[in-house]
Amino acid sequence: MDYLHRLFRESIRPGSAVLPAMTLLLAACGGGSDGGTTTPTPSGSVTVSGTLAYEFVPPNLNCQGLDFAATVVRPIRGATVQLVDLSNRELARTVSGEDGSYSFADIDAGLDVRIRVRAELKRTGSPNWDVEIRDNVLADPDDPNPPALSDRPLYAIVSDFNTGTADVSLNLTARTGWDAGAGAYTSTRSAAPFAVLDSIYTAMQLITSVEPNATFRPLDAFWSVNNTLTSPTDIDVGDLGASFYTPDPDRDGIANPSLFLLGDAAVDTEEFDDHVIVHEWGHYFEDTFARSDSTGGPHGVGDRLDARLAFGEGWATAFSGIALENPIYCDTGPAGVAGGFGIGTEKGAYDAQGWYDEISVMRFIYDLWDTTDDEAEGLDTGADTGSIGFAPIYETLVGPQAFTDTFTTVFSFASELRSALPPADQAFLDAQLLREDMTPGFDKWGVGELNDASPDGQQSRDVLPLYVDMPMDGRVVNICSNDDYDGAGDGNKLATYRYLRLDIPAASAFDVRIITTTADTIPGDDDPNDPRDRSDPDMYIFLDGAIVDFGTSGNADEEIFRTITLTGPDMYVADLREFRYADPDSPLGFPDRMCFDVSFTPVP
Amino acid sequence: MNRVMIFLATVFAGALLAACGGGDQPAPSAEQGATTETPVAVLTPDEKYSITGKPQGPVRIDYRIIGTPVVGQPVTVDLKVRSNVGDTPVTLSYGTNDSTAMTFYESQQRMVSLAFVDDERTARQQVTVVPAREGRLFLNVTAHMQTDTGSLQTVTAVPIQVGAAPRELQQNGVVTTDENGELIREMPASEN
Repeated sequence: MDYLHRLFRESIRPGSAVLPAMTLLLAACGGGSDGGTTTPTPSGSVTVSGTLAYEFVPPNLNCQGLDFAATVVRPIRGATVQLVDLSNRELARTVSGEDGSYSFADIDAGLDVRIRVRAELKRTGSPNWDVEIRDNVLADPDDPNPPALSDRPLYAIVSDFNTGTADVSLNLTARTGWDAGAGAYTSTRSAAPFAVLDSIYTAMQLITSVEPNATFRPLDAFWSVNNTLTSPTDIDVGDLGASFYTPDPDRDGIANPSLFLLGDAAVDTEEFDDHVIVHEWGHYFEDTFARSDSTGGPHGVGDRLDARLAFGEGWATAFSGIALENPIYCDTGPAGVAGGFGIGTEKGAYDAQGWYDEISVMRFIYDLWDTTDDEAEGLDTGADTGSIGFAPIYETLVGPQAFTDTFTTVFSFASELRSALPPADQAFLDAQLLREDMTPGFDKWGVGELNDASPDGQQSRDVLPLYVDMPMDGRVVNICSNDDYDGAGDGNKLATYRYLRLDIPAASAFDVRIITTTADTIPGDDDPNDPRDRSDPDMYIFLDGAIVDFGTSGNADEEIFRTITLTGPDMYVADLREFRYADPDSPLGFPDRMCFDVSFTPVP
Repeated sequence: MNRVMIFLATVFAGALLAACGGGDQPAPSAEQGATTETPVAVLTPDEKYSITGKPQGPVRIDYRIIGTPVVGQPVTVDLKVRSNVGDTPVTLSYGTNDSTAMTFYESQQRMVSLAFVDDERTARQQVTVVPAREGRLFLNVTAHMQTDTGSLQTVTAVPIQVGAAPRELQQNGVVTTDENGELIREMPASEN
């Protein structure tokens, strides 16, 4: 068993000969042709074959915009290719190969036909996937009956021709639409959806390298030239607060995992920012294969984040570096402008190192995987001298991390991963933690962690312990949260949420009482009785990552509710927050720290 | 008075508001008060756990538009710039997508350097523009800074709605239907 484990792990270390299975699978799907020849066919039928490609634009040095002069051509891999006649009737269908090749045999000669290459990846069997690249923006924003997101237009490139009397070799390329002379996009940006598609294909390859029979849940990726970075978010017209992943864009409670990607050339484009696309796909993976308890919401380099958010974002960025085998995460800005920023997974730290920092989590995961000796390469000192490969990371995410009774944080991930490693790799993991200012030896609850984010040795408030052990017998515990790290009122930063551990000894419902104990009457408040100006504690209760109950009434200075019957013995967790810290209508002068008396009393 | 009202229209406000459900009043759980032995996982009652966006750069721009934009009248945009890179100076520059749609007020500087001195690492600026037509126009605010690892630049598009005319949308390809009636946005390919 250990031998097989090691063999398996070795096989997916970076730099090893990986992923041959994908090539074989695609070849089996009908891709592949000799192409390039024209042979008379006496039978009245012809073969149509060729290769499909798209243009890809790499970033400039230091992620300062896109380098159109360095544009390369890449194969369109795994896409659906159709041959249709002029009445839109499908004559044949295949899937492009790893090299972008396709072939249709026995096509009637002398036909006017169209080749349509759909920006989609479809595969049944094992593994299987269903990825579509669509345009989210409505042609008519006032359409009273707009199509569902999953029915919005699918991108495709097309080419019309006559099959003639001889075999046809037809090679097609989706162009960027960039005009170097004008320094602008002046024609259709055909390459963009296929660049998005190919980044997703690459991400799936990494997963199938460790899980050859993976089943990927259907995914829609929405990209549009009208998707711009602005607020508030309105998907129908392309207003996006950022490029993002969401499991339920329709907000109807029905899962429909989706990526939304910027495409406005004047503001920010993502189609060639492959790290950004794979980062968002990493969220999809965490959500559908593993588990994400992330709060979501705004986050940036240097922020001190809620531990769940820090893990999700750090994982996603690390995953992008691993899948693309490129440690530089580039997010370029407007097309034709030398702007953007990069995140080096190997080098560079901002001033927020620790378990609450997405950059620290990213480097921790990436350096577990990569084989680069950072010190030898002059990238860093000390710690990163080895690699555990991707398999243990994957197995931890889809295994214990997916089923942990804690929230999904770096504590749950690292402690579970550590327990699965041999001693030498455990020491290696510990060294990565230490370098990122985390405390080796912590458990999945964060017990043992000493970094409390204290600035300059001062005492940080409400950071550690990460979980408050809640007595489940009615005793009162005073718990505080604050917005010390949340100057923008995002409500998702460190210490905004407090975590509670609920060790339920026996099945019971509970009366939950949360009473604000901090004075919240604001001097000069024009309406002290307005509940919108008062404290509003909220609580969510989780079992294995699923919300099982909550109290979010909006009542001033209290939250009182009776839970459903919580099973027992079982371990639940809860998060407690002051809603005003995330409320855009929060009053000026609202206290920056709020405390609450919290109790859970069993219902007789 | 409102702590965040000053900068209602943050870059992420839409996502955040959607994520928070806005009113903090989710529909009650059907399971609440029930006595089933096994708890049933209810759907997320709001969307606070549903949107995970890409990392922002170390500079963040929030904004608020003062007043109602009118064609031919100056309109001012309040900017709040936050930096996570110590006291490194940030240069802001302003632009528009279409100079015939919106111009800068005559005394408006097109570029300004910001210093960060307070604990919150924030700086504030105002930009005044003059809409030339109705529609949804955009002021592009670019933040640029130089760090040890190179230069960083982020752009935020500030939407300025003038009158009721909608934003002008661009087309990329032609929408048609396939053999099954599915909408397809067809784009040209080059033969080579």
